[in-house]
This record gives sequence, structure tokens and C-alpha cells, in this order.
Amino acid sequence: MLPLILTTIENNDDRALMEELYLRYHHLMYAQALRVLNNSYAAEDAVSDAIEALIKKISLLRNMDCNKRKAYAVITVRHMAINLYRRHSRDTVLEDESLELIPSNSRVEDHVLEAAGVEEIKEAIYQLSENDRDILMMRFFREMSDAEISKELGILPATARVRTSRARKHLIKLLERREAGL
Amino acid sequence: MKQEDKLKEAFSSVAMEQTEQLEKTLTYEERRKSEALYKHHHDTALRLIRKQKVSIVKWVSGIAAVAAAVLLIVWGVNRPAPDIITPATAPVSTVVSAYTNEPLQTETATPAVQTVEPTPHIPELKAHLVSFPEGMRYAVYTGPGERYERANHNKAVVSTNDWIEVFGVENGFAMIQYAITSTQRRVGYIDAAALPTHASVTALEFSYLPAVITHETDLTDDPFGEKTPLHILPASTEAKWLATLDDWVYLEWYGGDQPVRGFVPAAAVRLKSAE
Repeated sequence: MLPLILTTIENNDDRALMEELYLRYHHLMYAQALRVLNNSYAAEDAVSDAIEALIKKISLLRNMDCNKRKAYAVITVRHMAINLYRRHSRDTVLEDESLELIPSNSRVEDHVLEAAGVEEIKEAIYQLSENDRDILMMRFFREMSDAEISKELGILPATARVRTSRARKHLIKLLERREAGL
Repeated sequence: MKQEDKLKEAFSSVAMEQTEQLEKTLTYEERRKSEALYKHHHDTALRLIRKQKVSIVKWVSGIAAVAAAVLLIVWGVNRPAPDIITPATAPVSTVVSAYTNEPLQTETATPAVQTVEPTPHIPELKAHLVSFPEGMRYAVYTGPGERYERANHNKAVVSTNDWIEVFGVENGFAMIQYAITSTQRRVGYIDAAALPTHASVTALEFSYLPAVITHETDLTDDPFGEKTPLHILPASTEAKWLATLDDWVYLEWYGGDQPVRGFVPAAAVRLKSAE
């Protein structure tokens, strides 16, 4: 049986898509939440939050193949679980960070990204800190705007923008190092 | 390729790899807890549906009662007065005295004695998780013996690497439930010798009451998953009612080449004695 929130979807096709997604991947979503939170009740909340977030992205989900859709559900619940964890543990480390942007040289960044292949970018993504990886995952995989990211993380849109930009620079730095053979 | 697209592709690939890794390392405990959560949602939704049904019935019967009352009032006001008032005939016989012309004795018709048949005992199926030694595979039959039909075109097999629930033991076979995929499960029987020695498993007690299918329905060994049909049972099919499991009835049916056990929705079957 399905979470009651799915019954609130008015469009039949959308509801059918979400029902299928939940039936197929609820065990993975729950397991992912449980790994972050280590608490059954909190994991259940994270799955509910994720379903709510997924409902908002139905049009995007509709155009994905099933593997990408599965990954989208899992990554979404991971982000929701991390948010819940931060809220519960009052982790304010991220809130205290400076809003100052790292000075950038967009020509260099463009060159680095143009030169790098997808596989190289992937390797650099794995070397990023979890915070940087998660926020860039929100931007480039979950295709969220600054406003959406800020709403989900409970931060100001400006903070979301700075954090995304900073994470992107960290990624480019890693790619530069690779290019320089360091 | 545009920078943005390149980044999207790379992040998408990382996300899929992370998900694949999660899938590969999913533990038994995580799967079990996920199943429990799924069941919780299932039960909550069922409770709500039942509540809704009850309130709809109440609402409809309330409307019907009001309509009937209005009709009676209208009919009572409009009907013409009867010319002859005939007393209601009661089912009585009267013996009259030859001397006084008074009734001596009145025999009132007594209602027929209602014979209340004892309610048949129908067991409710219950299962519990049992940890089997990993790395084993066992043939799964739909009933307690090799003479019973084997699901999946005679190829059904359970692996002990995943979760297995046990309902009980009958005729040297253990009734189990296990997952085939994340959405498909199967209830069937394996050789009871496969049970771990520490497992405390009770004997299955079924009612074997004659039952009849009221309308065409699927017989399935997967009542809580995809409900894949083993057979289609037409209306009037006769079977044995073994037990119940939530809104499902567990039946044994001898219609095919081999006997088979499976589940049908409770609304699609009734006991023959209830005719």
C-alpha cells in the first residue's frame, strides 16, 4: 500500500508514476535514509519528505529512464535525511559560513571544464567533500534552482548561491590539479 | 558538449553509481525494516478505506431512512379511508366453549426454533522471520508436498540469502513467504528439513471447509505483492477454505492436473455451509 500523500495527486498519470516509483524503490529510499539517520522513525520522515519533493519534480522524472529515476529518488531521500539530521543535531556549521565568494577567473574555469572529460569530472566529484558534492548534486542532478535549494536547506537564496558557486570552484580546482598532473 | 551538460552527465553518473552501490550492499535488516514501513502504510490505508466505507454506508442508509419516512407520511396523508376494516388475521387457532361461547384456550403460533450452527473455526495465518543459513536454495511448491503444483512454471526456488518468513509446518513441509523482487513475493512450501535447528516453528492447522467461488477471481501466491495469478478460478469453483490472512482467504484447489494452494480475495469466496 502507498503513503497517503500520493492520494493527493490529482492527475491520474502523475499519481500512477509516483505509485510505481514508490513501489519499486521504497526499500532503497528507506535504506538510504536509515544509513544517514540510523533511526527508523526519522528515516520514515525522510522518505515522506522525499516523496513530497519528488512530487514537485514529476515532469522531470517523467522524462528519465528507470535507472536515473531510481537514482533521483535515492539521492533525494539522502538529501532529505541529511537535512533532518542537521535539524535534529542543530548542526549550524554550514549556517555560519561566510557569504564571501572565492575570487574566480571564469576564463580559466571555462577552459578547465572544456578540457575535462565526463570521466575526469566524475573522479573529481568523488574527491569533493560530502557537502560540496551534495549541493552540486542538487544543482546538476536534481536540477534545482537556488530558490529551491535554499528552501530545502532552510537557508537564504544568496547563501545557496554562494555555497553552490564555492562547491563548483572546488570541483574546478580538483580538475586543474588533475590537469597539472598533481 | 556544453559545460553544463557535461556536469549534469557526470553528476547523473555518480548518482547512479552510488545508488547501485547502495542496492548491492542492502542488508537483511534494512530490507526487513523497509518491509515493516511498507506494511505500516498498507495497514493505515486499509483502516482509512474501511472507515470511509462505513461512513458511506451510514450516510446512504440515513438518506434511505429519511426518504422512506417522507414517502410513508405522504402516502398516509393521501390514501383514501378504507370502507371495511378487516381485522388482521393472526396465526392462532381458537377453541370456543359450547356453553359460554367464550374462548377456552388460545394457541399462539410459536416461532420456529432457530438452529444456530456453531461458527466454523477458521485459523488466521501468522508468519515470523527465520534466519536460514545463507547460500542454500530450495524448491518451492504451492502446497505441503511434491505432488502440489510448483509455481513459476515448475521452477520456483527460494534462496536463503534473503529474508524468509515461516508460517508453520505441515506434512514435513514448511509454509514460507519470501521476496522475489522488491515488488513480488511468494507464499509456498519448502522441505521442513531446510529449517534451521534453532527455529521454533508451530504446526499448521487448517480448517479444510468446503468453499465456493462467488465470482471469477485470480488464485495467487503473492497476495501482498503483485498478485500474480497462478490460476483463474471461475464462479462456482469449489475449493477447500484453509485459513484467512487479512482480507485474503487461503484455499486449496484440485481443479488442475495437480492440487494447488493460493489466495483469493475474501469478497470472491464463501463457505458452502453459509448457503
